[in-house]
Amino acid sequence: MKRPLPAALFTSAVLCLWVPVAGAQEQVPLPPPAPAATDEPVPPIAPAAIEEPAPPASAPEVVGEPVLPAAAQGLPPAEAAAGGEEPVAALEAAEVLPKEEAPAGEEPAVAPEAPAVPPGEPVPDAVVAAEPKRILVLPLEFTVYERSVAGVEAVPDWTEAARANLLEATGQMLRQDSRFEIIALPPVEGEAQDVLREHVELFKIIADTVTGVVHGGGKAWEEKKANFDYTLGDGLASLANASGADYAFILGGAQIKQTGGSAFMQLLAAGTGVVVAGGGTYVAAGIVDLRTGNITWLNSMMGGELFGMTSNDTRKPEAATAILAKMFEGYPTSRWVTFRPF
Amino acid sequence: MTFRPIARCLVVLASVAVASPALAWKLAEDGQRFEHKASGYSIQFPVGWRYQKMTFGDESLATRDGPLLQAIYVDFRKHKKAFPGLKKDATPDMMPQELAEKLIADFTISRGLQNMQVLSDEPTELAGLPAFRLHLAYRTAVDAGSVRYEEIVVGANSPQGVFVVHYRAPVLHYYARDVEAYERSLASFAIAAPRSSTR
Amino acid sequence: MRILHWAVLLLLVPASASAAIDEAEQRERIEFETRGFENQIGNSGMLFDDPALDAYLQGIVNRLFPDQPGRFHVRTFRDPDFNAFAISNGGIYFHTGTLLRLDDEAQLASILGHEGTHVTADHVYRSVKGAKGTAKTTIFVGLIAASAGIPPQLAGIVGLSSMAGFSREYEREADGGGFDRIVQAGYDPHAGAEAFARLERELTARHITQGGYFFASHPRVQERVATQTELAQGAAAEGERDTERFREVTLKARLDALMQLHRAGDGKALVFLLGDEGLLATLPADARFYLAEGYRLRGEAARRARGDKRSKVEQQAQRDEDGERALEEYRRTIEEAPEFAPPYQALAMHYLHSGDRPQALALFTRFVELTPDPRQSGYARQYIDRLNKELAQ
Repeated sequence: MKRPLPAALFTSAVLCLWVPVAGAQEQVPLPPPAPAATDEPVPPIAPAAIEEPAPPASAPEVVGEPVLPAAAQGLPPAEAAAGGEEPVAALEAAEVLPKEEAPAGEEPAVAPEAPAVPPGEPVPDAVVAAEPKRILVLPLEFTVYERSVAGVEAVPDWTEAARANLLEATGQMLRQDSRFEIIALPPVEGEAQDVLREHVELFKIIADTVTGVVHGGGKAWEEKKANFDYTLGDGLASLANASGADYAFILGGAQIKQTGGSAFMQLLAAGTGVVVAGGGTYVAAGIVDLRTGNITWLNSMMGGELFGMTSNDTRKPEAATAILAKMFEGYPTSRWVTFRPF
Repeated sequence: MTFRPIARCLVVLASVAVASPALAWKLAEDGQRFEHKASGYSIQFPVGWRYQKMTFGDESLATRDGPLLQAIYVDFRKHKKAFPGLKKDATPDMMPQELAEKLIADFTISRGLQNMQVLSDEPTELAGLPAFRLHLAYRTAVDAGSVRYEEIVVGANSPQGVFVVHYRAPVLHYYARDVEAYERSLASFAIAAPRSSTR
Repeated sequence: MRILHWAVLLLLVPASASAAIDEAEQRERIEFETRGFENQIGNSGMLFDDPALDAYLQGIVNRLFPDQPGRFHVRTFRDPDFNAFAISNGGIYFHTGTLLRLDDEAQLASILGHEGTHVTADHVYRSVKGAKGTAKTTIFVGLIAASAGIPPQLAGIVGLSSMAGFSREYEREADGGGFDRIVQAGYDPHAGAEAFARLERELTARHITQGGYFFASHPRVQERVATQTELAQGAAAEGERDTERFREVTLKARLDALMQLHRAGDGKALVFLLGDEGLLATLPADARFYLAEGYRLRGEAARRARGDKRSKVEQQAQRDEDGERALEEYRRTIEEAPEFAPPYQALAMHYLHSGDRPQALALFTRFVELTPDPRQSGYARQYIDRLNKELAQ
């Protein structure tokens, strides 16, 4: 018992940090879209305001399978959004967070794309921005799971609390230094919602790629770090037109909270020299230029949990604030991967 | 309950104990073809792309931004067990159309592409050999976001086995942007003559 | 050091004490994940686009469960396997492959009744609660299920649906509840036994003993046959079948399932369903092409399935017979549907391989004539060029 314990504890600690969040990093479990904010019907965006989504590069016709003359066409086109007959509920409008008034006498905000100015240094005239950029905060895609001895399951209350905390922290970070003016996400329905959803999924793929391949990929990927040119393409330009926003903030991730017997089992197992995965938190966030699709800022955070204990518990406001603050350190520089052990 | 996080943790745990299946990434340079001697093919990947060879197996992969954003993927299948999902073999005399049919079936089973559509299936040439060219469309799994992908698959039969050169990318932005780079690489694909069986 | 280790352990025990959750919380968790799953499925491209079919299925469920208005919503799922599953919020997903394998509306109702009873009897919640209470290795069950033939699109919902089945007790409860429902609705009480009997025969013919789905487990399907047969004993001799309406509304879905089986190269399933079980009679004349293809695919050499106990000689004999049957069925398809192009190309390929160039050329030529889209006839045109050159020499 004596000899295996320290090694097992150390290994558990490392794996608790890396294994579950590395696992979570590969395929972030998706929460459901938030339900409509109110019961009243939300008027859709005027059709003229949303451009038709660009068709896929190739024709959707199916070639090769025998088409029986007596049969109706049975195959949906490649680009068709699958779904039920009922119109898809509009995404919940992001909360419009109150903008803090800049105290009198302070210099105007630095433009998001300008290099960070060290604290205490005067802001050069050339760097002064005319106006804060307008940004949408897309519905946060973050889910909190409980890992117990019986398995892993998503917990709605915890998820709601975590999303609220992360949203509040997001607002604090975006408003800081008057970087951005946060504006409400207009209702997005039907095909426009599918377009938006797919772009968010593409962002997640990029975030996973940056953190999983680029960051640790070796010399061959150094140029990519220096020349960060990831983009979602211009498919969201219609959202910019409809909302008046220049940018969108996207955040996704998951937390696995180890509780109850699971933590105890892990501890017991460690005592016998057996390592069992625990919990952890993974967050990836980015800022996207809505007109070009270019990702102007991206960062992710991986945080561990050991035997049920962690400081990365997004159910707590202070933890969410600390996580976002860590991610925004050095803004507007993208750091891609940040660690917050326990 | 979702089991995906647990499954991933266990997979990662298992992979900690074994060597990485892929060698380090390298940068493709002009005039420097990638050669896979064991399988007998070579290809000029797009200059500036990163590529790697799988340690166990005959595959190689090149990407500009990351494998899930675009990938040129070369696959060599010996005739025996060429279609593992189907539990069927290829034969040296199989024609391109027949190979294409088998690969489509194999993808359906082994890659879980039940929602795949075959946009086209046409004859072509690969390294001077009669070949098939498939254009596929599908979506990723639901917990990977159901993202639309398109894929071109060009394959040819040879005495030593079946060579297949894929290109896949998300429909959003990436597929159209990088398909020309794939076509240039495809045109550079060469197959070495089979080694003599006598020593 | 040892005392320190134990002290640490003891101190941590109270902090890690398990907190059981109440029923409302557990139901909320199930509902949360289920909603997420349904959203994902909606985006997956896997739902079959046939509103009339969905409305038809919904109508049957409404008829079966008149006391539960608005409880269920039924969607058709594009997958050629025999499966249907229910989730706790009343969603029932019915595979196109199941529709392909049924004869009439009564059989369809028996499956819907079975699945609907899983919902009304609250089996998902009861199973999750039971599993947690005994701290069973549900995670491993889920992993096994998810890796043993269930498509990745559906793996996430295995633990929260009827997909991998429930306990024997719950399955019998669903059998009984479903049976009562179809009888009350006026359907033929023998329909359930018939549907499951066909499924059992298919699993035998394809040498499948255990697949990912509940309906792919041979022992469990055998149990369904036995239970349904037992329930039907002493029941009224007949009831509604509505065969014509069933065939008409489900035609598009059934043909799509056939196409998917064909694309997956599943010759055994094609021959079993269209040939052995006679489902060809319920389809248009040109569907015979799929039977021909089934024989051709089944006749190709393949590694023996695990449950196949036949000798090599027997297997070869069947392959030879399948090859001949394929040719017969191609010819019959051409007779019965002369304007349908694919059998011409398939037959031409046979003659190309066997060296009969004039026959091959004639059939490829006819195929190209009947195929206006040049993208669909590229190979055939190549063969024509080559054969013309060879025959000219």
